[in-house]
Amino acid sequence: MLKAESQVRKKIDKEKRTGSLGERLGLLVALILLVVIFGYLSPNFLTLTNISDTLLSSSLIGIVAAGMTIVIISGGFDLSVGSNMALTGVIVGSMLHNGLPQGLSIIAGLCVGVVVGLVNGFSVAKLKINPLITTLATMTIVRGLAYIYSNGTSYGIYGTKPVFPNFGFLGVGHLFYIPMPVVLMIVVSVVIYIVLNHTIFGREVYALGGNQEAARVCGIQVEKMQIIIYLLTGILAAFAGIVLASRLSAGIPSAGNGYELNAIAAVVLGGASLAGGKGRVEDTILAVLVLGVLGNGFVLMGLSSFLQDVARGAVLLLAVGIDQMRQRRAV
Amino acid sequence: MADQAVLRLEGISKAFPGVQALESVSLDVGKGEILGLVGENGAGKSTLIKMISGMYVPDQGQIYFQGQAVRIESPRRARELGISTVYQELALSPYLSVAENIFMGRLPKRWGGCGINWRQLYSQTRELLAEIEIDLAPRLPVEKLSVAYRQQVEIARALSGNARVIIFDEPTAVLTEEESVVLFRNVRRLAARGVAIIYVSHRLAEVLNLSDRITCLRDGKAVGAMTKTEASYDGIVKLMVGRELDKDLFTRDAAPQRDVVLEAERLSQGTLLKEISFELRRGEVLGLYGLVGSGRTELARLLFGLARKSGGSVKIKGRVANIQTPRTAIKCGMGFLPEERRSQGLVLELDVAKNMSLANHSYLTRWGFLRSGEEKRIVQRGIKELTIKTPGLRQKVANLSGGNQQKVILARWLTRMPKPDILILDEPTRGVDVGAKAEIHRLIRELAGQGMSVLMISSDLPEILSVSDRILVMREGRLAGEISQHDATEEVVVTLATGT
Repeated sequence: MLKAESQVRKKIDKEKRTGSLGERLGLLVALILLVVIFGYLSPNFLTLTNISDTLLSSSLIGIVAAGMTIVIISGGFDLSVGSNMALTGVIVGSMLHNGLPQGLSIIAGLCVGVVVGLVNGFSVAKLKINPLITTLATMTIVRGLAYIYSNGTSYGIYGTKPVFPNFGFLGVGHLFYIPMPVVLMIVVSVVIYIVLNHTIFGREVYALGGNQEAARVCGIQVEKMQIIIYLLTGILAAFAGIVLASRLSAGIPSAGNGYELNAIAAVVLGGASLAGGKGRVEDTILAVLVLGVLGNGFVLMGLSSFLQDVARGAVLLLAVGIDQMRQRRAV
Repeated sequence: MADQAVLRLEGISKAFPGVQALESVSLDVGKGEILGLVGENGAGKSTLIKMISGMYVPDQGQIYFQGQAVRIESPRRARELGISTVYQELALSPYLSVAENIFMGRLPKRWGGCGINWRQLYSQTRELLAEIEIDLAPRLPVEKLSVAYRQQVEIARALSGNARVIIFDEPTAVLTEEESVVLFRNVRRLAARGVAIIYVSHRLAEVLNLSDRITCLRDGKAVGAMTKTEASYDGIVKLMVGRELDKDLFTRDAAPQRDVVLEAERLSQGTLLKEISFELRRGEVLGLYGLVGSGRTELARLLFGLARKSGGSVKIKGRVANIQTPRTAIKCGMGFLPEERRSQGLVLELDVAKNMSLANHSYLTRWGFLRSGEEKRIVQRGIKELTIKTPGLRQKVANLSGGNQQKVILARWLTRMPKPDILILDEPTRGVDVGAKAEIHRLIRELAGQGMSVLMISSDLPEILSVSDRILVMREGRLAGEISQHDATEEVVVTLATGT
């Protein structure tokens, strides 16, 4: 009896482990498959330059999506990240354009993220406005501010060489032959991975998203947590905005358009639940790469970028659909 | 015989990945008969019910409905056949009216099907409710109803759909004694109308009282079937758990007047709680009984900082404590087991360890990082001390049985550093099987013996009577009385609670 019981348990345990392993491997397999297919179809795909380009084009979305992962796990949502990037970009751009010190400009840019994050956090935590509505509102407000501030034009950033410690280094420079934005994406994701998995803060993010009431009963300060979480994404988005401005050598008010949806798509493709409580930053990054490779492959094959959009949406539907079906069967 | 059974199950088996949930179970229920279905949590009752109501399809075996072999592949098909289920978690639309909920999917139409014939809807509802003697206004939004009334709406809905078979899944789990009596009357009335009833409950006394026959499940198998005359409480318990339980009342030392740990003085909260004063002493279990809506849960939530008081004060160990958040309550040395463990107590997505250490984060952190070794040690101790049955500390808490989930919440407070000295337990054994229930009772007494002060809310009278040292009874937001353990009988408590 006891032996049979323990055997069943072992079996459940094993299935649980392999089950989650299968889940985890899904994205990796998809990524490898895509690489193999495009590598076969296009001789230019598996070249060092192209790989570097693909990573580079995914890196900013990666930074934003890594931050988005935290918000979504906590049961929230942030649509304002793209606009946040734009406002940060034009402010930093204008300051550099007018010859202000680089350090000061970067700090001013990060302050934009702090303000946007605090407004989001305060509205969600204290005013109890639904995160979707809150950040939809701040998305339009901040985008509007970016246009008003810049009067609809761009600020060119001249003369910063792509070497440390110049501003240009952030977006155009290389570290050990790896483009800086890629390095930054890796650093940001590793930090977030550690935060989510090895700190009390991370633990409480999961608890908050999984069951806010239970978190409250256990003495977790729900509102404070929410404000910190929106603050963090705000700062990360601003940071991405700064890197983008450096990469473009300009602060452009239309920059970062659509980043919010791409980031959310990646987080969801990475297996996070929009209901909160579930998600992994490493899977988000994998999903960002899958989407990036898909886009790059389409370009190499000379397919229209409109078709790319269609494919990206289809992948999202397919992936989440398969996941839903598997979960239903598991129940 | 086979023709008389409205519903008959033969050799039903169902497996889930890694678990044989049901193994060749057969049962039948006839017209106007009440079949009691008992078994511990995880015995397969829910799976069986879901099979009958079309949520799952059996792997093997055959279901016969009025002598015909049927395949119930969807809840819709079950409804068409006339099989209704009154679930533990009620499935009503809160913003719609009583009438709309009852006739949902079958609303009387007009204007060629484009409009709803409201007049007819309300008159039909009124007739139906009158027939089963339920006093409810058809236009009232369900949101405004108490759990007991919502359940009556569910029953009315089942009947309006011409149900031949109605399954009750733990219907009294959410009801008070009084409301249960009304439910039993309704169940009997349904049976008298010829409806076949499958009645699932943990509370054996009521199953014994209501059922014509009883089937007992254990580990997915039907381990016994008996008629009303053959069945006895002890016999069923033995079948369910496969062993006998000790039913001894807990022995207590003649409680000396011990120091007061928590003192509530004229506590009020709007219209819900009115001037409640009581003392909780060290090492005592103070039972708190009251009907639904009497304010017992509100009192617990207020004490723990989950609601704001509008008047009065709380003293903890002689000092006035201004508790406005659970965080301060915890700092004052309190722990809380909420009424709804799934929605208020546990983070179901997370594993046993994470759920257990959820209140212990300030101890488990060093420079913001988690001390995972220490966490593992503490959680393993908790699992051992409370004999929590789990394959491991990384098991998702959603996969544990109700009793073990409840123990995880208890362990959360007992393993906390520093350990709380006041525990507020709101329905600690709701939806928990007989074996785990006894274990939890023993644990509560043990804790009191070690000096823990426990405020235990329960709508389970035998539980209140056997575990508490003193009993407070609430009625309509006020304290209706206090009874010492040896003066307490069911009659005294119920009389105070109902004011009759």
